[in-house]
Amino acid sequence: MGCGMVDPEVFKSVDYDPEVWRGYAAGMGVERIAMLLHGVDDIRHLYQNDVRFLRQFS
Amino acid sequence: MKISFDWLKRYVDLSVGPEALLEVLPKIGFEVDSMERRGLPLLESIVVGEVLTREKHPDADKLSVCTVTVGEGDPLNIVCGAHNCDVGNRVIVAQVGARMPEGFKIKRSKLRGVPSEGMLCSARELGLGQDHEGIYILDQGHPLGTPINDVFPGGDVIFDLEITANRGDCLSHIGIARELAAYYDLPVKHPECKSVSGKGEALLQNLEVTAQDCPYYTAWSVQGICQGISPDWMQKDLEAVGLRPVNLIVDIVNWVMFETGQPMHAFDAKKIQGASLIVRKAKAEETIITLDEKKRTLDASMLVIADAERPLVVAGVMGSLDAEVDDSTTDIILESAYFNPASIRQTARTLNISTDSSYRFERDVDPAGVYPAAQRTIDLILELSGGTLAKELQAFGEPPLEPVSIGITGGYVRELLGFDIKDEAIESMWKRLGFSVKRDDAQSWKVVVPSYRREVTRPVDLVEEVVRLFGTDKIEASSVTLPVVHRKDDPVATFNREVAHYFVSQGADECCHYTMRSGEELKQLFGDTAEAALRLHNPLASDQGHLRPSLIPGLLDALQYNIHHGNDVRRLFEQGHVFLPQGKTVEERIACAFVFLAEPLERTWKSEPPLDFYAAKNFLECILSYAGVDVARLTWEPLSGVLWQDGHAAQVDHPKYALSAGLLDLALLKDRWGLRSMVYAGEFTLSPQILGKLGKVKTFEPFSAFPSVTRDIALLVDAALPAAKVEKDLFRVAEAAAKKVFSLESVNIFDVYSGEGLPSGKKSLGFEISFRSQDRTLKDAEVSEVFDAIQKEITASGAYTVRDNA
Repeated sequence: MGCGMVDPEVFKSVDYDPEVWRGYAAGMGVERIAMLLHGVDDIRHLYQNDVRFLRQFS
Repeated sequence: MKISFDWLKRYVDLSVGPEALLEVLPKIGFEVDSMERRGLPLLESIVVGEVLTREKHPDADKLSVCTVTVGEGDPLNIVCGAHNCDVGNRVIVAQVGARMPEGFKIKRSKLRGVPSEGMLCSARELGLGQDHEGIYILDQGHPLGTPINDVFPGGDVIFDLEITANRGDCLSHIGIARELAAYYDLPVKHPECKSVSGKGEALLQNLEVTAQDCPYYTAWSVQGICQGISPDWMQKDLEAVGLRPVNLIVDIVNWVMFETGQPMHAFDAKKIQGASLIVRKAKAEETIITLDEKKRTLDASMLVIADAERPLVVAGVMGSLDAEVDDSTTDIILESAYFNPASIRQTARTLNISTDSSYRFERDVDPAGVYPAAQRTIDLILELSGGTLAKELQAFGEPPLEPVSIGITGGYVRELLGFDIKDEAIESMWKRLGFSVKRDDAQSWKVVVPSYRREVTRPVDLVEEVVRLFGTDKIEASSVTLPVVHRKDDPVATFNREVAHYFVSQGADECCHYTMRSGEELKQLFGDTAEAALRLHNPLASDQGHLRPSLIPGLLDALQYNIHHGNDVRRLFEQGHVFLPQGKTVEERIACAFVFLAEPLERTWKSEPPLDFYAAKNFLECILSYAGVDVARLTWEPLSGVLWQDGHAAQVDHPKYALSAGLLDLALLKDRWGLRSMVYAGEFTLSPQILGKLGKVKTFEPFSAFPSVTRDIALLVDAALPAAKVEKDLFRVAEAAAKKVFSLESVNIFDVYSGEGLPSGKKSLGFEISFRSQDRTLKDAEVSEVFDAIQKEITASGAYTVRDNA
């Protein structure tokens, strides 16, 4: 999972003054959250479309 | 990049094992992709012994009773089942207390009544090989009592590290050792270079650099070397990092690259035409056969090292067969140079080659490392292959070493980090990382960046170095107060949820596929134009090289998968984004599709009527109504396409949305998906803008308090004419006729008939027309008058006739 402080260059490129603005960024794929939440052990289940999987979450 | 733990330890005295590094490396910025053990693990109490006596076991034919010495102490009594435990053999003794590689522990025991104080080991038991025919017999040369790990050294742990593109300085064992030394506050043990003084003649008569992308070039001449194979330790190191040993000189050059990070190149001096090396831009259309035996055509942007006649090396990328060092090479020129990273990156990309050399040059190597790396290589060459170094070093230019110095204060560091840290601690971290730090005044420092860390240019970069060594895990947690923004769900999300509920209530399962499909599929199902318009420039996988224009192929994959796995699957649907080519651009739309088997595959005791086209169309109209579209106003037209069975599918094409529904092509299903059932499908795509109206508050419209009056009419029409078209015409006529006195409420088809009693090629359509007035109950006579006018008007064009017995 990537997270951290935003590089000042990134702020400059979107016209925020890095002397004024600082920020944190964190991101997590929706798949990983779903896996943690529902105890899914293999990410491939999410795109395999096996109805035995789908029906557990309908 | 692969790093050998055994190799790494030569540059820093780590007191921790590889498991600890598995935690530390990611903390300081190096993700560990994998950690792999090689060779013997550490084994305690397993040592070299010698069989002193051997007697047959009194109660077992196949067992022997031996006495075995391990040097010190009394000889051990060991019962052994092997045929080859002969007196005088040097053997491997697992003593009481030893743990075998697979976890089994050696205990004092009795075998058929005879006590045994250990075990003589086979190759397989130790993981040294597959041999289990007898015990492992060692050479006589191994002294008694030697630990087995000393007899078979070379156990190692290999890390595969993910090094980010800004850390070219860490693409070597010294580079990683430097980082770990900083983390553990240990010194780095740099290899010592002997200051060899050359005696021989330089082998080049001419060294020229005519291109700007090479600011520094050195050429070292060594004569009279003796090629051969590299020593075992070097071969083991190279194999550990994934390289195949080639010959002594090539191995040394590669080994030093993995030690220092400096790629170098060795030329066979006798193969250089005109004793001349020229660093220049390639000529347009110049060709070279690189070491991978491919002919490459160069262009004028590429840097090459050439002799008087031809290019010998694509600079920093790959050598050619023409000047290759082989087994018979006696004189070499060793190149160690600094190339402009951007130039190497562009050349490697254009030629589509990535080598260990180009990988390092394009991430920038340490300009100050060019000379010492060459010295190190020369040392090893002279030591391992002999030869004489030339007195004169032939070189061009200077290493680009403008020192970078950054002014920074402790206040800035603390302010940015958000926690308290003392000036001394900050200063010591920079120093441990090789930065030189001087006080400007009481508040500020002047920090000079080492030559191998030229990506550090700003104060903020120095703060990053502090937090990296400090450890983000050591920062104390604190709570953050943030305003929460309240807003309604996006209309697309609301719509998707409603559609999902509807389909689930119809017994369908919701699927989710990747947004990318294969070009081959697009070509077959949607044609060449769509294939070209939806192709990605840089796909990650060839079967996912195109954006999808439809959800139906993915759903058919899922249908096929579930049927093949014997799952009871009948109805599937999916919601997602699709991409429709629109001239030169591509329009992204939200889409919703279903595939339903006409009949269930499972046997059931109660049969249901199979699905038909109208059911498929109805499913689609139901979900469209969730989008706020007035379903009654849709105009369905016949649909033909590769996906659909001719005459069994229809579509609606509107600028803001499109619908298609019907039976999927039976032959296509069988050929492409192996499906032998009838499958009804529907898909609709729409621009998300039309969902924007969904949240609007509706205004009440008053309706009439008076009852409606109906009249039926049957029209005889051409069998091929869609009923919807006739309905539309009738509606228009009826509306016009009624408008003068009251209003038309609806026109509804209630009967379709063709066959007996009708002329061939005709069908009869029965309609119910409903009228109502806002201000009175309609009288029979006034309705009849209007109805007569309608009959007259609708037949006027000649396309329709009123069927008499209606």
